[in-house]
Amino acid sequence: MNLIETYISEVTQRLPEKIRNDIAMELRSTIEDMLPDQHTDKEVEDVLMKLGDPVKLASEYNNKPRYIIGPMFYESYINVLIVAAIISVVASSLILFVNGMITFEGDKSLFTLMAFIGQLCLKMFLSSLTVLFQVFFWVTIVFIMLERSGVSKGDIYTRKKKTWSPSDLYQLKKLVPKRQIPKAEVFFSLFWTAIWAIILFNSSEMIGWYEQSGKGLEGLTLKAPLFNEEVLFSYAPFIVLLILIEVGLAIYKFFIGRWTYLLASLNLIYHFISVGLFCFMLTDETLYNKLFLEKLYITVPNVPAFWFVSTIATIVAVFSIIEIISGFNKANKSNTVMNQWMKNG
Amino acid sequence: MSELIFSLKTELRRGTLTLAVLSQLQTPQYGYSLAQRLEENNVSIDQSTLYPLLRRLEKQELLTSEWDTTENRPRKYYLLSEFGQEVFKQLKEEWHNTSMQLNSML
Repeated sequence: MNLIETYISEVTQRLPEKIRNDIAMELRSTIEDMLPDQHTDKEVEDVLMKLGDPVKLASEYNNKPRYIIGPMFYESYINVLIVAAIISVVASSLILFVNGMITFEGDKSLFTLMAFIGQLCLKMFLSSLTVLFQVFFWVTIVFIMLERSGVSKGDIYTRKKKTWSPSDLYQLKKLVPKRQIPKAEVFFSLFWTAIWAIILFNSSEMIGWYEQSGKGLEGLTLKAPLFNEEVLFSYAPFIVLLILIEVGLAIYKFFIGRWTYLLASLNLIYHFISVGLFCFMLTDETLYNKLFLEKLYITVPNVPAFWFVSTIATIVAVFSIIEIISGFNKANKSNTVMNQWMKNG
Repeated sequence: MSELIFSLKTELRRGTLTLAVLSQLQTPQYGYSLAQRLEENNVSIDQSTLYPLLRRLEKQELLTSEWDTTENRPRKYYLLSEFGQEVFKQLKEEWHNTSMQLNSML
């Protein structure tokens, strides 16, 4: 008798409270049904053997999914995980980088700057790891709750997705055989934006006239900054706007993955704004530090400052024009590829 | 090889077990009597599969159940519900069609 009760409790302790008693009762009556009125321990063992492993029996009764995230959500889970991981790592690194650069208060030598950047990279790496764990944890939790809440019991699938038809393929314009804008390019451009913005805003400590007054890199000191800080900061709203446009464009590029006429046009607008702002600032005489100009004049007395300005402006303008044209070129090419692909497929 | 055959056989039989159980519940049966009836008809089903299956079918509202405590041993009786009757009818039809199709091919 004891054997039977032990078996029953082995099963029911693995079941939810609600159904425990009922199943225990049913099991008990079933087992007694299977036994003759006068039975030996051997006969009890045989009957229990027929019912099998109590763990297995309990799992049959439970009928709960034996997975955390089922096939229904698996793909979206992986996709969300990847996107969330990328975005959060980039965002956290950018924030750390900007923050680090703004609060940077070493002396002006290149050496301390390098050491500082090394340290910053390490920090960024570590924070990326932490952020990745966080993202993994929370995304997984959310998906487990989705799975457990029973949303996956088929109804989303039938309700949300209309029955598939070949005409759906025409809607898939975004799907191109090959991604044309490498992700690395986008990340590099984000990184580049961060770097120039930080250097520009810290220019009074970084760019300017350096003179050697000691040994090696540590002896290199900033004698005169290039810009007049007050005037430079009066441009800040426009510069920040430019940064926002640049970041926005990079993110847009990342998601669209290929060149389109819209992207090429946005690229054109961006370059117009940036070159315009750049030339405007370049020709603003009050922007430059007088001390710097004096030092420049002493070193190269025969070259007028105007010459520097126009050379730099021309180089920037030429590069921008090349970028704009190449944008439209790529959009054109990608369009042709798309059309061919649509026709063939 | 034999393991593969075993798992394929189980898969093939899985759906038919439900049908077999439904067919025997036109009259109220308790767990063990149902197991015996199935055995008499040479339907081999593990008892460890049968009892949980009954509960699942009850949850899906194909079966109704009732405890009979009048005798010295309380027993839980299962019976096809109205909905269960309808489902059984359709499954039976499906089974006839499928077996006819397969027989003509095999």
